[in-house]
Amino acid sequence: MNARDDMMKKLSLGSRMSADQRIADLQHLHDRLRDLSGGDLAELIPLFRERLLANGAEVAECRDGSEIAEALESILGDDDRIVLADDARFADHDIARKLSEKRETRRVCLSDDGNLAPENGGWKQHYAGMDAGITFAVGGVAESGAVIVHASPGESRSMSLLPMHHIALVSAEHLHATLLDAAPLIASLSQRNGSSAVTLIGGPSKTADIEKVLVTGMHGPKRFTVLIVHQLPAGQQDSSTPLSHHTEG
Amino acid sequence: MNMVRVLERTGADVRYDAKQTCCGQPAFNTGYHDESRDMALHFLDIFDGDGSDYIVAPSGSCVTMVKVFYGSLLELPEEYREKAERVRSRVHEFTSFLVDVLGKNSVGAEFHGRVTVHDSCHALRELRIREQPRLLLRNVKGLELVEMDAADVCCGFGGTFAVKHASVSTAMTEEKVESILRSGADVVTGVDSSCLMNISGMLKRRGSAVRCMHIADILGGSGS
Amino acid sequence: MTSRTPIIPQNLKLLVEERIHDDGLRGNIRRATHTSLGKRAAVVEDFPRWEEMRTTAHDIKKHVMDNLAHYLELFERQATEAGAQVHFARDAKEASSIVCGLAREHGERVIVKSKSMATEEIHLNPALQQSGLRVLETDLGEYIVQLAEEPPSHITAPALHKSRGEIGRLFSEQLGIPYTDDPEELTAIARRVLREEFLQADVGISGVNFGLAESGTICIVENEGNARLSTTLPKVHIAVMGIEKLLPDAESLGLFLNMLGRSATGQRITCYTSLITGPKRSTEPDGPEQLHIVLLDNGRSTMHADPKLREALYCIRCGACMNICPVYQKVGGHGYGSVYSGPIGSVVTPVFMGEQAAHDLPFASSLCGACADICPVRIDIHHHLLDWRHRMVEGQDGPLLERIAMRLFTFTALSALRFDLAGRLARLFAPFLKHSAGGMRLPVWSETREFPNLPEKSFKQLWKEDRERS
Repeated sequence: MNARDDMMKKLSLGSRMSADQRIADLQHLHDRLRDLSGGDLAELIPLFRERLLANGAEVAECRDGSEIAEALESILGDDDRIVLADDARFADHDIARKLSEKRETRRVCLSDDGNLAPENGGWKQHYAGMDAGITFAVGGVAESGAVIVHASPGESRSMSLLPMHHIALVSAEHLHATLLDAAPLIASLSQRNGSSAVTLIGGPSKTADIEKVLVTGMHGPKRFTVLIVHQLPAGQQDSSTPLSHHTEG
Repeated sequence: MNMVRVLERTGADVRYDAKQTCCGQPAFNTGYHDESRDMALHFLDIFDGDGSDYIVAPSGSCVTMVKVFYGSLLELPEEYREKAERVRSRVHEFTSFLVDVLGKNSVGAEFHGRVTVHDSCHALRELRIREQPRLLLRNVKGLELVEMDAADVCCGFGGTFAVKHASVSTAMTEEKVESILRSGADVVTGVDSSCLMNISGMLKRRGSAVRCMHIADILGGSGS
Repeated sequence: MTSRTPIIPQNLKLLVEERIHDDGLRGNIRRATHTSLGKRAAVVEDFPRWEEMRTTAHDIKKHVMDNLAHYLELFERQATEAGAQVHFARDAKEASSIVCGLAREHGERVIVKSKSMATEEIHLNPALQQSGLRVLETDLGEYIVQLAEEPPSHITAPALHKSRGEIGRLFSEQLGIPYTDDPEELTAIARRVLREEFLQADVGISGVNFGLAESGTICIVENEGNARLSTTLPKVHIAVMGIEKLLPDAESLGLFLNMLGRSATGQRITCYTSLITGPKRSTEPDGPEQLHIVLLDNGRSTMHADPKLREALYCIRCGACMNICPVYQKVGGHGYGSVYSGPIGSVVTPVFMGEQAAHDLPFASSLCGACADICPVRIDIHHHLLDWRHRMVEGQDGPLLERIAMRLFTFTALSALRFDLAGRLARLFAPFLKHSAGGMRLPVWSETREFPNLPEKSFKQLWKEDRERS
């Protein structure tokens, strides 16, 4: 017998619930989870901010799209080299152009078809040399102090990982009170036709492996900044609209 | 005898069956279930239907054995299950009996000294006894209750553990003794003699003046 | 401190003796465990209903275990449909040969690994090295112990037993850099060295914290970013996952994430929680082209079949039981001689390594129960240790002298007459065992502690006298 069937056979001997029982049991557990999650978390933004700060993140806020460029300017250094998510919202209000006036700016994708060729080792360096990656989060979890990002045609996994600074924009409307409230979003993103990588980011990369002394920037970004935008239009998911303004370093 | 005195002071009619011996915990803890079971059956035979309402013991550990382990972790023969169930509901640790069953928070005792409580593991984690001894001690005339740090950390006794892993056990007892000394208490008390014997053993070896007293000896006393 | 005694459970007593008198080691462990416990206590307060959360987490794990075959099949189906390749491994050898085969096929330059207890359990690194492959641990703690050629000593903090000075000397010797013991500098050095390796690596190997059956997703929880790098940069990602890691869905995951970070390191959420479903999509800019998930049994189905041991499969490897354990705090992870150390380690090791090898582990505990009280999934750890003691004694008859002593004590205790007689004899002979300081002298015990003198009269005598008076 192959390993799979062997293991399944052994396990099925000890798994005796009928499908109906199992569904009912799980339903009951979900009810309990919902009951546990019910708390009075009316003021999400202050809690989100407080928890992010406690996790070692930096937090900035702005009113709407028209203020994003200015807010990012105040977060970024003048000669930071940046990589921007390939998101149409960066074209709005001239955000991408304004940012790239001062500094070297790259977009996510190297090739014209919107894809990076993984066998081309160059793409790794493409991000590694950059100082900051700027992405759009699809949601935030106030209680945990974390944002949810996901790999998509316009947003790579690496841009929130390889540069020393990661800046995530999140719409105040996309804040969830708890992880349980965010579960449907996480579940829908994680489907087989969804994203290969959904990541909850709760702070800068860090370690305490040496005598429990906290050091940031272990492998990933040393700084993690969340820019809360109070009114932000929803993003076009799976949009691969190329940016109108970008320069290649 | 101090436990008997305290119980009688509350108006209880105390009986003692001289046929009793041991609940079987030492053998059980070491893995010898057959031997332990023999003692458990002997225990149940003596106490089931003996005409008393409650069984009170000055030991959280022995009570745990009967109340928690009999019939669950220590398998009993079919014909003893009901017996065990009946006995289990009647058996109580001494301070829990006074506070939870009789509803007392004072037994009219007097004791002069600074006293700290060590939480015995079985009493604390199997029987959830933490406040009961403190409540009774707070109402002892002349007694000053002080808390040590890490009162709920094991003293390192653990029955045969103290012999099988003597060096680890000793290191644990050392930390317990240091907590006690830091508390500034003259007396350390608790609901289990075995922990107190262990702690007292090291206090004496170190030539410390801090005494170990079972809580019954404090509650049964009328002085220092 | 590098031990000369091989770190295996058979050497338990020696391992303990080598460590228990090492004040530096004890200081390191004490500082680390107490820091984690302090942080944990502060963030557990976020949830007034923490105890109910523990019960619910326990019941969700129970639900999964009671339906494990179903959830494993669902997970396999969903992961496969998402493009992952799912492999089944009955034991450590099978798992390690699957991974080595894949790694040989794809790993020409270097294999990067993020922290994984499952790969420690299957002794993957030596197997990869024997296949002629270069494998690099990338979690800072793991990197440190790999440089020192030691196994990790804690589930979540592998190098917790080492001081900054020891790490500084190690880096200086192994990496040929000037000595520094500044954690900030040491971390920056490790980042630089490892980043170069990441950019070269062909294969990334990770463990898995949770597997979501509904979507075939694997969830990896970390702080450093090395798991994200290992699962993003190389073109092949191999994940080794114990079959007990399954959860039904994202709803359940929320609860477990809330509890894992808090219990492990006192964090509300770890910096990175990666939910990986299949390899990179064709439209996504980066990520591995292949995702292999190796589902590991290695004794788990045996535990699953055992109604008592099944509960040990609920463990989410947070390490809180180690942090709180007074025995662990004294001897550290290496003192146990097993991959999984601490209280839960002593419960699962007899399954993973065999009862013979792990015979002493369940006895290396005072059974205080602090582990069970802190466990986020309410595993009755100390009761499992009691159960193992029984199994060990039954299976191997225990040490002869101990068995005789237990028989004798039982024989005595079954009769009040004999019990009394024994008491009288003990009181009679006790004076001959007197120690100069006043107490009785007993072997082992009396090396560090006095033994009290027996009372002159038994309770039975006192009772009799008292009743005669009144």
